[in-house]
Amino acid sequence: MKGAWLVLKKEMLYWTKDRRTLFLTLFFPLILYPLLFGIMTKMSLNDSRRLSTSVTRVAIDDPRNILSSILFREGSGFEKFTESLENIPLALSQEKIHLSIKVPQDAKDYVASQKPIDLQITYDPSRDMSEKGFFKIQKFIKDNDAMIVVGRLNELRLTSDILEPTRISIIKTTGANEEIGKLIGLFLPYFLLISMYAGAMQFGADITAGEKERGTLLSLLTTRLSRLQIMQGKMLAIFCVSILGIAMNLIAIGLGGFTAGNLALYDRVEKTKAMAISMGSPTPPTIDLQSILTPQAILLTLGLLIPLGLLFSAIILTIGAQSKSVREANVAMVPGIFIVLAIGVFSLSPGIEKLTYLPFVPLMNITVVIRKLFTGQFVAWEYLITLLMTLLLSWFTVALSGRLLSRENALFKS
Amino acid sequence: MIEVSNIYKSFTLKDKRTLKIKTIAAVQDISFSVLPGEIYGLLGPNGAGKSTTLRMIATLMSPEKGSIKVSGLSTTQHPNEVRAKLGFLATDMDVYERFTPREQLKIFGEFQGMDPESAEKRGLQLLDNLGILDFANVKMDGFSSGQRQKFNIARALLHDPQVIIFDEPTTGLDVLTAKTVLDLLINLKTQGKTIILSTHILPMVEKICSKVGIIYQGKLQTEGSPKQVMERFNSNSLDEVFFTLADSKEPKGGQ
Ligand SMILES: Nc1ncnc2c1ncn2[C@@H]1O[C@H](COP(=O)(O)OP(=O)(O)OP(=O)(O)O)[C@@H](O)[C@H]1O
Ligand SMILES: [Mg+2]
Repeated sequence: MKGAWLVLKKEMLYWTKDRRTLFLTLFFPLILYPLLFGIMTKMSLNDSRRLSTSVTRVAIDDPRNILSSILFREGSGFEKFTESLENIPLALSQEKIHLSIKVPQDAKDYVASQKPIDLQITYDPSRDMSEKGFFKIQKFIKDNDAMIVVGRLNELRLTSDILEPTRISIIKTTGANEEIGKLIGLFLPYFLLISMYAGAMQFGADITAGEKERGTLLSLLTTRLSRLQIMQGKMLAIFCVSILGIAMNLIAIGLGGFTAGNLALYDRVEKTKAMAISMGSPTPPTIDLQSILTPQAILLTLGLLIPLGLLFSAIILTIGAQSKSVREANVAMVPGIFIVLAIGVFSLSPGIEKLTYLPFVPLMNITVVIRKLFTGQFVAWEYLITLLMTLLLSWFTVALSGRLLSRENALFKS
Repeated sequence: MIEVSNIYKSFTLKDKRTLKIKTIAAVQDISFSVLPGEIYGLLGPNGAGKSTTLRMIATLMSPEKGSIKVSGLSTTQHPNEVRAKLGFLATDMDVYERFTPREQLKIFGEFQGMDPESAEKRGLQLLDNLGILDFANVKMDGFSSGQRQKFNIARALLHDPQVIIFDEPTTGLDVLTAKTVLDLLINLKTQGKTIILSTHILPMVEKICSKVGIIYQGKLQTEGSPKQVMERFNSNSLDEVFFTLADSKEPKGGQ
C-alpha cells in the first residue's frame, strides 16, 4: 500500500503545480457562491420591496369623481394617470399605467338605491406591478364596501356578524424561505453532481491518458511500483481532487448562505419601514438562507458525495487508463456527463420525492436526499439507505475497475 | 544477468481503409543472454523488433511464448521484483514538465525505495556527470530534447540498478554528450552491471559492446562479438554486415 501513497503524493504534488486548476477548484467557488446567493437575495428582496412600496398608476374614467375622490388620497398607494390614452393594453404592457378603471356615469345613484356599481378594471397579469395593483385595488374596494355595508347594517340595526356565518383564520406553515429552500434543493444536487464529475474527469483524464500521451507513464511503469499500486494511487488522487473540489463548493455555499443571510437581516429593517408606508400589501417575504444552508445539511451532503466521488473516480480511472490520449479519454467520459445530467434533470422534475421506491434507486436517491436536506424534509432512514447503497455501488465499481485494469494491455496498450 | 529464451510476440493491426485485421510477428523465437559485466548491443533496421524485445525484458509486455529471466527471476511471474533491479530508458519516455529535475528525482527515488535525501544526492551527482546540474531547479517544460534525454538517463540510473536496458540512449544527443553517455556505460560495465542497449549508431557498438545481436524481421539473424560477426560476413564494419544481410533477404523493407 505504501507505493499507492507515494503515487498519490506525486499526483497531488503535480496537481498543485497547476495554478489555473488550483485556482478554479479552490478559490473560484469561494467567490462564486457568495456572489450568487448575495445577488439572488438582494434581487428578490429588492423586488418585493419595489412591489410593496411602489405606487400604482391608474388611468381612470370617472367623470363624476366618485371613486377618484377616495382612491387618490395621500398615502393610498394609487396615483392618477392624467394624460389621455389611445391604446390601454399597449399602455399596460409598456407599464405606462398599471391599471385602467372605468366607473359608470350614474354610480352615485346606484349607491343610494343600493344597487351594485359595475366597475370595470383592466390589467395585465403578465406585469408584476399591474397584477399587484389589481390585488391592491380589489382590497381597496372591499374595504370600502365593508364600510358601506356596515353603515347599511347599522341602519337596519344589525351587526356585521350577520355576514359571517363562518370565520376562518389561516396559519401558513411555509413561507418565502421554504420557497427559496425548494429552489436551492432543486438546483444544488444537479450542480454538485455535474461539477464533481466534470472536475474528476478533467483531472482523471490528465493523469491517466494524459500521462500516456506525454510519455511520462512509461517511466512510472518501469519503477518497482506494481501496476496495482499505480492504479490505486491514481484512483485515490482523482478521489481526493474531486472531494476537495466538492468540499470547497460546499464551504462556499455555506459562506454564501451566511453573507446572503446577513444581507437579508439588514434588509428586514428597511422592510418594516417600507411596510408602514405601503397600504394593503401582504407581508413581504423574509428570506434567510442561513436557516436553509445549515452546517448539518452541508455536512450530510458531503457525507453522501464522498462515496459517490469514489464511484466516479473508479469509472474515470478505468476509462482514462484504457484511452491513448486525453481526447480519446474525454470522448469516452462525456457519456458519463450525460448520465449525470439525466440524473440531475430527473431531480429537477417536480413531485419526484413522492415516489416511494426512490430511496432504493441508486444515484437517483442521492439527488432526492440532497434535495430533501435543503427543504426540511430530511428522513434519516432514507439518508442511511442512500448512503449504504452508494457505498456498495462504489465498492463494486472499484472492484470491477481493478479487474479490468489488471489485464496486460490495459495501461500499456500493446 | 538476462536470459531470453525462445520468445514470441505479435501485434494485431487494423487497416483503417480495408478494415482488415493483420497480425505482425514482431518477435519470433529470439534467444540470447547477457552476463554481468557485458554490454549487449541489439541491432537491426526500423521495425525489426528491438524495442519490443527490450520492453518484454522490462516487464512492460509479456511474451506470448518463451520466457525471460532477469537475475534468475521470471519477468512474467515476478515482474515487480524484476523491475526493482532494472534501469530502463526508451525514446518514447518523457519528463514531468511541471516538476524540476531535483523534485522529480526525489519522487522517483522514493518510488524505487530510496530515501528522498540519498535519492536527491545521487540524482544531483548524475545530473552533474551528464552536464545539466545548472538546470536542477528549473521547471522542465523548457528543456530541449537532448536535455530531457540526459535527465531520463539520470532517472534510469538513480537507484543504481544491476541491470540496465537502454533503447537508443544516444538519440538526440550531441557528439560530446553521446561520448559522455558511452563513457558512463563503459564505467557501469566495469562495475559488473548487466547492460543491453539498442542503437542505430554502429561505430559506437563496435567500440563498447562485448556482444551484438542483429535482428531482422523479428528474428535474430546472427550473434557474437562485433569481431566475430564481421568475420562471419567477411566485412570490415558492421555497416557492411547490415548491407549483406539486407541483400540476402527479399526486399520487403521493415517487416
Ligand atoms: N504497441 C504496438 N502495437 C502494434 N504494433 C506494434 C506495437 N509495438 C511495436 N509494434 C510493431 O512491431 C514491430 C516491431 O516494432 P519495434 O518497435 O520493436 O521495432 P524497433 O526494432 O524498435 O524499430 P526502431 O528501430 O524503428 O525503433 C513493428 O512492425 C511495429 O509496428
Ligand atoms: Mg525501437
